[in-house]
Amino acid sequence: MALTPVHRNRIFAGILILLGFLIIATPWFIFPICEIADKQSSMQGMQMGTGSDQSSSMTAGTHMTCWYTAEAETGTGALAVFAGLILLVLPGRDARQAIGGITVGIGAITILLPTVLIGMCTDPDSPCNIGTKPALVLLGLLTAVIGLWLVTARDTAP
Amino acid sequence: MSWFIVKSIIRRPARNGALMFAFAFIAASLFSGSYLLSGAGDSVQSGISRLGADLIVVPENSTAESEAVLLQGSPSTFFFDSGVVAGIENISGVAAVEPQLFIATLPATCCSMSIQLIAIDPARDFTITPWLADRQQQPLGKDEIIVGSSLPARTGTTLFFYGHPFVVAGKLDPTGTGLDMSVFIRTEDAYTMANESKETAVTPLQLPPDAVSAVLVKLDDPAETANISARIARDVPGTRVLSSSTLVSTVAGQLAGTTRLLSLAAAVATLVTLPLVALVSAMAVHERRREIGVLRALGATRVTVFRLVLGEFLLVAAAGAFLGILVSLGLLLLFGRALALALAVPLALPGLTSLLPAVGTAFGATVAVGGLAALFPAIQATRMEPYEAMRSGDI
Repeated sequence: MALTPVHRNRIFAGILILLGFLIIATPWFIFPICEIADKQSSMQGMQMGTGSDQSSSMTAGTHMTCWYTAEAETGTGALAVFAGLILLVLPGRDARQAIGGITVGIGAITILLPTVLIGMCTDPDSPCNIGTKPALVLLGLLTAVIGLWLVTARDTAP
Repeated sequence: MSWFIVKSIIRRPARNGALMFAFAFIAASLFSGSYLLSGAGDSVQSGISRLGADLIVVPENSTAESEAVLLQGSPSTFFFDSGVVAGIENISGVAAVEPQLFIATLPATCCSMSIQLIAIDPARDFTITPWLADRQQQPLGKDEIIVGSSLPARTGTTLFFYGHPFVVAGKLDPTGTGLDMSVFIRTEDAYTMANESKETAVTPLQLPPDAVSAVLVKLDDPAETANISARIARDVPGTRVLSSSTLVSTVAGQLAGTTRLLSLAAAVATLVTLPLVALVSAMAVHERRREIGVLRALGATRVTVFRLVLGEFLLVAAAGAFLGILVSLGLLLLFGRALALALAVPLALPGLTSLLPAVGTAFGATVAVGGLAALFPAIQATRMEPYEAMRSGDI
């Protein structure tokens, strides 16, 4: 039995909502970011491997870079969930294409946040770089692909 | 005919989608195993060639630590008697030797990294000095260092080790090995750092005089690697000789479990997919009896019918293989570092000479499975008489 456009919309709305929740959950639970460290920043150069309790560029009470990326990704994930919910309520072609365009943007931002806009920790072997970042890039890619499909899919719905 | 086959595939999206998934799994399993082996092997070769050595001689009782330094970048400090350098130099076939000193920085709290310092003598060095010369740079000066590609430091940055400041003079290209997390310093500066560490570091560094951790060996003829390795092992007691082939064997051994698992997954998937595809293609031929009958009645030859039926499943297999290889390559690139750390092996993107055969093998094997499974139903389709087929089948 062939899927009607309405049913197809619902499936993709469900996938979009799921992706949104995964984007939110990934940095906190699935591939968690590094532990929060409350350290004094080093003003001259970087201290490495001296055994002293120092880290780079952090003042008391601040978080590591990956923490801020995780917070931002919580926002983008919530946007993706919201877009999926709107798609459920407004399955028409124009609404679908508009939501699709926005979803492509959400996917792009999901990728750019950990790679360019905010970034992750400097240690390439830290948990945020080896797990969180690639997972978010993958989820962003999938979100953008879903958005692209929503924009380009052909159907006879008004 | 191609367009006819494509339209036929599109008409059954669920069935052909499921078949494509099965073929994708087979191709992904086969490709992933080859990728891991090639990536690890190429990484080791790259690391050894970066060092510029044909052989590396390490203390016999520190073989595991030295392999961990080279392959994974696990910092370690170990020495052996500096007298071995003269012993190795005297062996015929040895063109040059370079003693190196391995020093692990202290383990640090969150956000600092424990890394490997490699102290070299610029006068005897054939690792870093030629690399600097290629870039029109002077040999390492006082308190100057060269860092591996994975270290978060740029040229001109000041780094502190054991409380002693060093200036980054350059950054190496990635090798996928432990060298990416290493720092090359002058031996003279290492001893200065050790002397000062009593005052400047939490835990002082103690270096015995004329300490050596590894001896890099360049040969007159690299083809004599095996012979000279044996001669060194025999004539210089207390040593172990590492070459790119021994390190590749070590890495292959570490990967054996994983690659065996992937091969098993591919084998199981093939065993399940073969009868499944055979059944599906037999069903497809039966469904299209009238269609085949009409085609034969209109003048299509048996060979054309054979090509149509077999071509459909070959195309599905090819599409599945392509997707499987693409997805597995994407996942391996994204999570490669996590995989390398979990498996404790070096891993870099394999060169084209290694990657293309892996892709070709996975693709070819998967398409062959699809073709084999659909072969008998395709032959059966050619044996239908047009009148009987049109009478009994459904379009």
